[in-house]
Amino acid sequence: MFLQMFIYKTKELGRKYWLIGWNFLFPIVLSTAFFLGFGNLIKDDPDTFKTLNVGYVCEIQNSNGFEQVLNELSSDKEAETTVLKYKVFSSEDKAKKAMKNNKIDGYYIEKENKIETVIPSNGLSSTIMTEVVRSYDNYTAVIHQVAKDHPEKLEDAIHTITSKHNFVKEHSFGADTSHYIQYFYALLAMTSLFSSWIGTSMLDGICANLSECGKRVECAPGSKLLKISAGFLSGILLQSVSNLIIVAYIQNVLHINLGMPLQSVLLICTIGSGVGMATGTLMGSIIKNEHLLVAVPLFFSMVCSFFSGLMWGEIKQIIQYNMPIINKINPAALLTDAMYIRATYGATADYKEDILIMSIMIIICLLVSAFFLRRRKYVSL
Amino acid sequence: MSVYKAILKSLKACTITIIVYFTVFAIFGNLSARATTSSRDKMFKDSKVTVAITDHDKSTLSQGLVKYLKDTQKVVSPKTKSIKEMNDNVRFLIYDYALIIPDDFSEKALSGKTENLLEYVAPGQTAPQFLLSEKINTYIQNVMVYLKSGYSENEAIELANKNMTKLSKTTATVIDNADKNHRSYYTGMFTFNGYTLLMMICISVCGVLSYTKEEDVRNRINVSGMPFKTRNTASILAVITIGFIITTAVNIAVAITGASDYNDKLLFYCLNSYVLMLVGLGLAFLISTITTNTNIVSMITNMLVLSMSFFCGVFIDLAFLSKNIVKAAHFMPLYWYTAAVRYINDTAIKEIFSTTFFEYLLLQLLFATIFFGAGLVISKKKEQYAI
Repeated sequence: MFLQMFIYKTKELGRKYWLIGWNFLFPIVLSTAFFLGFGNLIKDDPDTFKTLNVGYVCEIQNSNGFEQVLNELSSDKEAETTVLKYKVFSSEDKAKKAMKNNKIDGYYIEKENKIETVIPSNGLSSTIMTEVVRSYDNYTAVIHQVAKDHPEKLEDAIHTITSKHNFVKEHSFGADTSHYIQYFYALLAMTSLFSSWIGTSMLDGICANLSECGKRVECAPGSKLLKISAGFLSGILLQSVSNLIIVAYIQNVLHINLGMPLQSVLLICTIGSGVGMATGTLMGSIIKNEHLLVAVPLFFSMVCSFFSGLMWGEIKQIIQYNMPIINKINPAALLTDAMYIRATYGATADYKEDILIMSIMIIICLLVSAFFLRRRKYVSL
Repeated sequence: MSVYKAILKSLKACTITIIVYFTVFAIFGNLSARATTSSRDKMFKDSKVTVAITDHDKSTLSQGLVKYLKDTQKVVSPKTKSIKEMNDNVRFLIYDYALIIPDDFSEKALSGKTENLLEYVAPGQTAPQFLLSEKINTYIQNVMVYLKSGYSENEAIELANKNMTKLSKTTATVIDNADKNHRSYYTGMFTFNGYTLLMMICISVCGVLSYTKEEDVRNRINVSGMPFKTRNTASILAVITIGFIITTAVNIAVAITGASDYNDKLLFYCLNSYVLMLVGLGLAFLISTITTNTNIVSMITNMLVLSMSFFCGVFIDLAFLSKNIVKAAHFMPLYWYTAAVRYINDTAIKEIFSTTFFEYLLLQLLFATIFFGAGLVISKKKEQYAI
């Protein structure tokens, strides 16, 4: 009996083309759009420090040493990224023209007593260019100071200042998860939560007050618990297939590495789909209006997705510091958090906590739905 | 007049959807416009790195470093002691850089063990990470030079701080004389409007047109005594009115929220948005001939408009997209809308009324005509084959 109910429910849900469109097609279109938009940014992060192209104009007979500094910086092979590449211009006008045509990020003019930095606009590149001049002036000032107070230590001071030191080191966590991959995690979370529609649609064909099919089902003598369980499982099956297709599409067609094993992504998404189905069942058991049965799950999925970072990546962390409880009850935030933690730190206690909360959510939603759905009586059908 | 009124009344069914998209436009459009607005720079301004410092050492040397960073950068609270959470914070842009001063920092520095004295967390090798690491390296190197040259710890810190703070006043000359590199508030709002306006018009007009195509409603309209021409003219006028009301409401919202940034270019932006309205009406007509199911309408509209918004520079600057995608975007109406917005932004007000601007508007009109024509063909074929 259960198997029969399961097969019929899967067939019934599979014939709702708009449901297939939203749950299968829409995430594929959106992930393609994300890939075309963010794909470049994931592979080549725009925030990564890039070598600056600068111009150099010497207005004095011979450089006082600044050109040597530029030369050293542009030929530094040890650095991960060369700070700058410089091009000598014979006059300021030529350098200005090159800057106007975006060929250089700015230029230096070495004058008798100072180095002038000319930039097109403010920003990090301009500050880094100015920092080069500051470092040059700084070392000159330090040497002068030592020469004035402790001339006998001058040689030591020059040696210390010219030797290369790394006073700071980066704390590495091994996996370098791109900031932009977060949008794909949020997309998978949204896709999983779209199963709330399947949840409401599943009830649509079971409840007598919602459809003709529901009337026939409620008249039949089968167990209601079995009917709902079969519907729930067929919904999860459909959504899991959808998740599998989308994950395979993202990893194998778009070639975006989600940073974790396939089974972990599928496990997280399947539990997420379970949450979506359970919340959909809960909504379906409470809401009676036909229009609201579509609008509320859509609103629910989109609001949860927004607060998990689908449209604004930083929002989840901002909420974490202002109202952390929201992140613990928002299924989309739990899903993205589980994926982010799994990809960055591995299967830690926080990851397991996210999975546990989602599992508890499924149980609570189903229990509450059962409370609303049980012992419904109709005078006539 | 009765058809006209009936169509406007049927718009009530889409009120919630319109309100939702209008709210999205008002909130996210504003946030995105405010975040990307920039004006011409008249003088040099240092870019400050947002750094969170955790000082476990609390020594004179570590406090000297903290003071220097407080004087020159934006120092914020790390909000946590967990290094993992600091990593989350730098990745989600709560701050750019987390500096951790270990408890043996001063002891190691004074004994001459200078390699890897401090630890930091940053989201890869970014420009803020490079800049701040360089500043910290320079500061500590100064202190080490002074210490090795015979100065006391306090003297070394004081001299390093004085020198570095004095040098932080070194400026640069800014030659910034074009609007091209800057985005006005209106540009931000009207760029985002490309997404929300198309969504609002498509969803509402498709809703209205779907309603008139319902079998029962269509049969009742067909048996009415009103001439075919009058009925269709009223329908077209009603649909245009809906588009006009939505577009005008959007333009008024931009004018109100951007009152402090007012400039005369607003009229050109509005003109461009009214042309986009025609594209939206054409697209809505086309979609409504394909299906009348509101769920499918919503799905098709979302897919088309969201994808176009990603490819045409609404959500992501065209500079970040690959050249092939930008080339493909030339075949989408939203590209010409955003091109017109960028043109208005970059051009002096007296020069906006030019061939280029009219070309952008005409291309949008061409797309509107194509959509409308395709809709008519599909509609006719459906009637012909009774689909």
